[in-house]
Amino acid sequence: MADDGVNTKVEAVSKATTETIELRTEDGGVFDVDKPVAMEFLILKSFYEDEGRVFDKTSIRLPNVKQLELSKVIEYCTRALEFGAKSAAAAGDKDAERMVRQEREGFEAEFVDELSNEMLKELILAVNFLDIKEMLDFLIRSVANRIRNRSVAYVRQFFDIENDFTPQEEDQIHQENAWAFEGVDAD
Amino acid sequence: MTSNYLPEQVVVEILLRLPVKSLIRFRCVSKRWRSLISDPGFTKSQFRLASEHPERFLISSSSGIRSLGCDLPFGDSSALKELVVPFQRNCLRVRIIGSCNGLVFVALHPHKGFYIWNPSTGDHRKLPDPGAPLRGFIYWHGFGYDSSTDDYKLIVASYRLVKNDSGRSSEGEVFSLNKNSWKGILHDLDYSDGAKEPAGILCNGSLHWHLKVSEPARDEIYAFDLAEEKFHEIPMPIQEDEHPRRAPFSSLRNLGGCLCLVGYTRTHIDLWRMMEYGIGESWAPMFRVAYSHVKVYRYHLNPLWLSRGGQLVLIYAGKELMISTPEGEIEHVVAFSDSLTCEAAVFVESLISPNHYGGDERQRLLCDEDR
Repeated sequence: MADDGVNTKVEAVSKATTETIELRTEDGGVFDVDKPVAMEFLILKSFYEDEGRVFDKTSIRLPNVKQLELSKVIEYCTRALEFGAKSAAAAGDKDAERMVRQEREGFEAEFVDELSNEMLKELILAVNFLDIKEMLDFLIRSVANRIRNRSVAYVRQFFDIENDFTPQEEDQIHQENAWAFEGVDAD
Repeated sequence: MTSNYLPEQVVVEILLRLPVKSLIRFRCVSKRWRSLISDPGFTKSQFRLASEHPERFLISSSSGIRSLGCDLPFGDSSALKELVVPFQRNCLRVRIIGSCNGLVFVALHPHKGFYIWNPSTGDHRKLPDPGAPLRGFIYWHGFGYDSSTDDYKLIVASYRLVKNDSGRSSEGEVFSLNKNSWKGILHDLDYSDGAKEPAGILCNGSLHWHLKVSEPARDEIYAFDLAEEKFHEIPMPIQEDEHPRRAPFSSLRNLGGCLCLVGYTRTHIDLWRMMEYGIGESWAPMFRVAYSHVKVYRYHLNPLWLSRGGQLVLIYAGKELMISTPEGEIEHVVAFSDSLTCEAAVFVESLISPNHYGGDERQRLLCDEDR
């Protein structure tokens, strides 16, 4: 009895500040996510808005997402919304716009630097499932930057691809375009 | 723990963001990747994305062919990259005649053949010799893309002196990459002594030449529509007597995607732009660049490209690149040659290959033809 009273009071308070949605990951993680951030996940947005559901059941299970990935996604999306707001506020002031841009580039560089290749791929799968366009584009660009000057062997390992060329076929491709294999980062 | 394969759709999006050199190398990763990267649809998407990024300058001089990134600042002459031209023979100079969509139209000089070449991948195709011998003085040439038929076309016109009263005999031919053949086109007027510069300026699907007609004396812009393969006139800026005399126009350029006219006073380069293609009233002054503070001879200043930030890049005397500062003054940037003869063009790094046009028989390597 006493517990119900406390819970109702907590719910009332949080409704008065920001609405949150509770997201549960497949490995038991529980996250309280601010509604504006959660609405960046188009999979959730369409669940609520297109289907006209009300925020009464505020706990959703995400079957294909693990806690580590979701925490990273929430981190990126929260900062992305902040940068969006800062950008809008700086509109028209070239210096302020440049500062916001540089701040964002700094954050994105640090964010990606900390990610291993495995983590980068897991994030892409999670973000692809959650349907977050801006973050997916950012992750795709990050992979392109990471592999652009790497060897064929590195790329095969990154994408888990088996080489189905014969040694002669591979040699021929090398010879026809030797210039494209020069100056590549060592593995 | 299952391996995490990325969906192929995502892999394609990653590939689209890679530079051409990486894409050529990664054709080796697997048969599936080779097929993805060689797909014509992929080539078109890659080109569209690449067009949004800074292009490269291609500069041909007696010292060879070199390229330079268009992203400012340029750096110094060490930023120039030497290019190997796969079909070049000793002592023959490669003359750049036109550039479009990552393909460049060149001629081995003196007259040893026309080629269409992708400087990013090396893919090239030698064109069949024009039917009517174009061994005369080439006074017009141009290269462009016809989107209505997804075809690349060339126009070359030349004249020869003939020993009769008419004085000259001129011939014009249009080449279609898809058809792999030349076709004669009718000239009802001989423009040979009217054209200020031989290179046709590509804009809006047509090639343009600036002519000085003598009777009555006036300037005209003549355009060749690549889809219809017909000539039409484009109106010049309207002469308004109340306006202070502006510099007479000397050349035509495509700057920032618009047709522009360039004029020179003793102190400035004047640029006018046709804001709406084909509408004479839409000609408007764009900006002026001061050059008198530097020792340059105005008629050796050749405008080449306009940066996104509105800075004009020019070639001076075939020897160096110059740029206009944001304050509207010219300054030296990169020296690259010590001879007066040079051509320059702008190109996008793409996978587009001249050998993808004109049917399966073009899919073979063409090295044999060059011997």
